Amino acid sequence: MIFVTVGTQLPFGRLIDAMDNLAADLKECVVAQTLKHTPCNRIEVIETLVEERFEQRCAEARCLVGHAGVGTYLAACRHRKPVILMPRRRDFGEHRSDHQMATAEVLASRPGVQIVHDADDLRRALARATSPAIHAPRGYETLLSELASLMA
Amino acid sequence: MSVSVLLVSSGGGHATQARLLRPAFQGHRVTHVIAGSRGGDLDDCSLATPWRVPRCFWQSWQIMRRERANLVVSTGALPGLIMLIVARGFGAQAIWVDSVANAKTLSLSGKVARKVAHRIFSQWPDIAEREGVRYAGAVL
Repeated sequence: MIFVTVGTQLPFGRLIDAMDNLAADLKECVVAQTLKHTPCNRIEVIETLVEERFEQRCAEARCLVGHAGVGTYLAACRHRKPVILMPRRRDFGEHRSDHQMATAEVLASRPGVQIVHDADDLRRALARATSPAIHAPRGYETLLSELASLMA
Repeated sequence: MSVSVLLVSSGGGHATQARLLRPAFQGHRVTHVIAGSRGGDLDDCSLATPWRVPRCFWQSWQIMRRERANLVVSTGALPGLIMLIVARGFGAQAIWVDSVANAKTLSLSGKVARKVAHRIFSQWPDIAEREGVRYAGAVL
């Protein structure tokens, strides 16, 4: 199963439409969390998921596909799944800024992550998505210890 | 002395980051308020829904009065900023950890938080240097 998520803030029709169109050629089923009612032909659509169900879907999936939100990436790391990220674009009205382009740029070199910008990219990425995302933060321990020191 | 910590975040990636910060406060009482969560007591708001802001202030005040936190830490977004403003009024230490999703500039809320919080962290060293805020590492 491929699990698609658009996050908690804004719908992302471009990604959902692309997945719906590609689903015909896939040998596995696609489940998408879309935030709003989106008519789809080939994929199962859920508007919102409580957290437990979200985690469950991630666990069941072979691969995660989502907007380039930090939450999507960290979910993939938690569940050790390959992840395909499509950054939202401000000029398409998909977000209030282009910060997802920056997130995508930063994550592009991480293992298990593929960045896509359109349906063609997405099709190619789905065929290649095999290695899992692994959480390898930079300076996580130092951030924690500095926050801990604030309580002294 | 045991500190009472209030973590405040919006849902999704903001909440995931707040959870990743939780080990820093081991051994202390930690409450995590997620704005907009079902059955929660803090609504979500953003620049797209400014009419919700006054209610978030009122809810934040109620939460602070109830929790009496000494340390309030937010990973964003706007509801977290509102909570920090209220937290100052209660004499709590207010900390902003800018979301790691802001890899090029400080978030809009983060820019305002600079005037409110006792300490601001960016999770990107170059932003921290440019904006004169603290970098200590990242969850990403």
